[in-house]
Amino acid sequence: MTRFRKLVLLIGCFGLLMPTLVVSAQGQEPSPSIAISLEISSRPELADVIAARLTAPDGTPITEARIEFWITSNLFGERYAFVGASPTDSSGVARLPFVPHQDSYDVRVTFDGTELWSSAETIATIEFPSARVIRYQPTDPTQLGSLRFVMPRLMGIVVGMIWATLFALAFFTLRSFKRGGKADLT
Amino acid sequence: MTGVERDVRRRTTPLPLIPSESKDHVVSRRQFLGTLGATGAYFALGGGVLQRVLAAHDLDDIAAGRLKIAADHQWVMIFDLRRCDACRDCIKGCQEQHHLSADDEWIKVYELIGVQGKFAMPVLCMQCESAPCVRVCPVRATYHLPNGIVVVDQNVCIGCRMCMAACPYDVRVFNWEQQDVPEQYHHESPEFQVPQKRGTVSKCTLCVHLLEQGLFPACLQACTMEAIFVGDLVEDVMSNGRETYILSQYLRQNDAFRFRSELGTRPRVYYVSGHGQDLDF
Amino acid sequence: MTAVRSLTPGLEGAALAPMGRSGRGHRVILLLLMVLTASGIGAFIYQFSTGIGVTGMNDRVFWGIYTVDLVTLIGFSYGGALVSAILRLTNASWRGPISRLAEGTALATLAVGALFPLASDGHPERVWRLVTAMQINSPIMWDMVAIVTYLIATIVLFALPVVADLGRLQDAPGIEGWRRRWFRVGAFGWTGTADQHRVLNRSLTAIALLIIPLAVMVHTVLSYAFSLTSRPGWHSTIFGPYFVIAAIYSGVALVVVVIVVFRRAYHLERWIPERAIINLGYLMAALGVLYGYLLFTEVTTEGYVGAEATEKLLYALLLDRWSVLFWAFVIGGLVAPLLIIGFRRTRTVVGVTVAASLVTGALFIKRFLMFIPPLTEPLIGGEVGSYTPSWVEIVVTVGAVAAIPLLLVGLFKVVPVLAVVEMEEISRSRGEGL
Repeated sequence: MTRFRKLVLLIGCFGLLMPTLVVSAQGQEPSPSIAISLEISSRPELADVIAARLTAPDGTPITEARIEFWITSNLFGERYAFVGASPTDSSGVARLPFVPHQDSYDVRVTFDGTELWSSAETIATIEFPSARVIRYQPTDPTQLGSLRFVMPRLMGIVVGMIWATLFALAFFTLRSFKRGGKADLT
Repeated sequence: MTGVERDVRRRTTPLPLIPSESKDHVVSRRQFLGTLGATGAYFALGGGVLQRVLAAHDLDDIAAGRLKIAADHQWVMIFDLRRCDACRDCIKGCQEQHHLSADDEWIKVYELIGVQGKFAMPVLCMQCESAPCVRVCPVRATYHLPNGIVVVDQNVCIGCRMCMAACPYDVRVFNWEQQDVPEQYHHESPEFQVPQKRGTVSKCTLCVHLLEQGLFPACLQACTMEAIFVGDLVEDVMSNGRETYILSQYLRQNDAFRFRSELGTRPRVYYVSGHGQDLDF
Repeated sequence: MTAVRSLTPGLEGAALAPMGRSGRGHRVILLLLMVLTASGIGAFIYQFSTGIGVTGMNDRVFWGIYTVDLVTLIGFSYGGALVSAILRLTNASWRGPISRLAEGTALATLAVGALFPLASDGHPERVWRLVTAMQINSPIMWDMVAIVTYLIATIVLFALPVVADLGRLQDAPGIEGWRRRWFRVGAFGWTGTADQHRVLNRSLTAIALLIIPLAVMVHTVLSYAFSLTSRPGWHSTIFGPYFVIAAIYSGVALVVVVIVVFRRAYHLERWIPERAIINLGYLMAALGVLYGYLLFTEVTTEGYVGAEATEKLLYALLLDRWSVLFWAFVIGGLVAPLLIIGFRRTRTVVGVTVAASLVTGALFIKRFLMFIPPLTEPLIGGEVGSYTPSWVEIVVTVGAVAAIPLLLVGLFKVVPVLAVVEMEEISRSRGEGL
């Protein structure tokens, strides 16, 4: 091979190799793992917390990483509902306050990945204790709703009494006409 | 009662209670006290009943005769006014779905002027939890479904239009004429009535016939700005097909409000205020 | 009995005058009334078969002339019942000759007015559902109950003295054939004994006492169909008293017109003295002042605060689109009648009749202004609405108005037009002969 052709072949091989090198270099970004846990609040008025710990493959926590929390919903087909996002703290834990409206949720926690880390996600089912679940309650009725209930019925009773009086008056008057009576007028 | 009691204590002879024309004008003390006791018991019992009645809960549905709260869903609708551009595609979608004439608008889009400038506001039936229309219907033609949606039974409606007078949102329309809809589209049920019957009242049903099948309402599907969401209070989730959020969080974070809720209607439609700032409006 | 009877052949004749054959002039008028009433019925049938799209109502102004007719006619009926009841309770000596006409007017206007909800409904044939559904919270349901109760009370108030009169007049000259049979049956054995008089008086006093709060209740309940909504211009606490006072005011006015017309038509001048009509005029004037007070209160209360929705409505009423009608009502219905009756020169039978006619028409306008302009104002946004009654609505209205004198004429062909027993009793108690 001429020296020129060798050079072209070398550059070509290198050129072909470059993407592979880049790709394999990317593929070599470490993949973190996420562990999901539930922290139940000690006080009823405070929300429970879904916690997600983001750790490197060697177990060291990854701090200041944005974690997104989703729950699955069957409303109009299967979909994920976005609950919220929060950053991991110094121990690699991201916390999200959450008020459950049903006993268990399929929670999906995602990490989008950075230049250092590839993306990761975990799905877990979290069971909430029954006492912590806030079920839908219809809102309070109006304060005077009972007035709307009582007044028409009271008026109905009054009207009934009026009808009774009217018919009694008519009946008894006409009946006593029929009976005639004593004494002439003159 | 107390006056009579006082009299009894002062007198030595029993008091005649009933002015009668019979010879025996006098009622014995035993009879009198017996009557007194019976009356007292009656009031106590009646008072107890009255107390229970006064403590009764949502009376609009008692009035409508359909008090059922347990349902899989309790539907709400949310409008993101930051995205609404008054294109009125929602109206067209609704009219197509229900085979309405071009004049019948179950959803209306108002262009209003607020402090921040002009903005568009779609208004449809608020599906009020304390609905004035349900309360005033003389024949119970309009009522709540267990999932909170208010519907009209056009086979019962006498067309008195009292509900139209009572509704503070002006969302009910009256069918002055009979519409012509091809036979194949006909459907008979208060949840989905095609065509509308002449001489009765119609209004938005939040497309409950679609909701219960897991489909989105027609206006939501037609909205090109994705400004309309449907939510469920039971599951606390809302969606417009693409974006899905936790309902209570979304409402709180976006300062959602309800329209004319000070009238005590407890509407089920929420608005996120805006003036089309997500677009060049 | 015979002694009294021989003194009063004139009274008997007068009381039965409408039952004679009508003169040609009368027959022409009756024919005209019959044609108008028939057209009204025909127009309603057309509307019923074609749908209420033939009216001028629309989604914005969804209640129109029929609602105005309903409230106006039932309002008229209050005047008749009240005139009869209050005059009886206050023992006014001049009530005798006018009580029958007053009560008859109440009955006729109530009977026609009670049909108007049917005219306004999209499906009047389903009205029976009001009874089966028993929706106790609905103002429309209350309307039905109140109107039916009031109708029964008015019938009883009307019928009991009629029974006595039928008994009293069954042997009068001119009563023969079917009329005689009807008088005999309808008399229920009345022979004019002291006992029967006592029972009659006690019953009538009871009904008079009952019908006054009942009428207040009926008209208040009628107003609730409007004031128990949240609409600006309707949601006002004054609507209850407004409707009641307007009803008495216009009712007394109509009674005056009816009395004057019948007095002239059947030559009852001797029995219905001018004094009775002038007194009714005074009553009307007093009620006019009261109504003016209510109007002033309402306008001041809404106008002072200037809430956006009521401000727009008030402006339209007082100064803008509706101002012509509004001021026509104020001048024709409040100012002019008061002036006419206030000045001695104009305080004549003719003057009072003119005033009463003005009041009748003006209060029709006022009710129109109470119901339609608030509906034209947009609740949320958009254009102002409009409403023009269609020919169907006008023909039905005219037919209903024509039906009232027709009903009255028909009524007084079977029932004496003067309350003979009552009149004789009053004159007896005052120690004068008739």
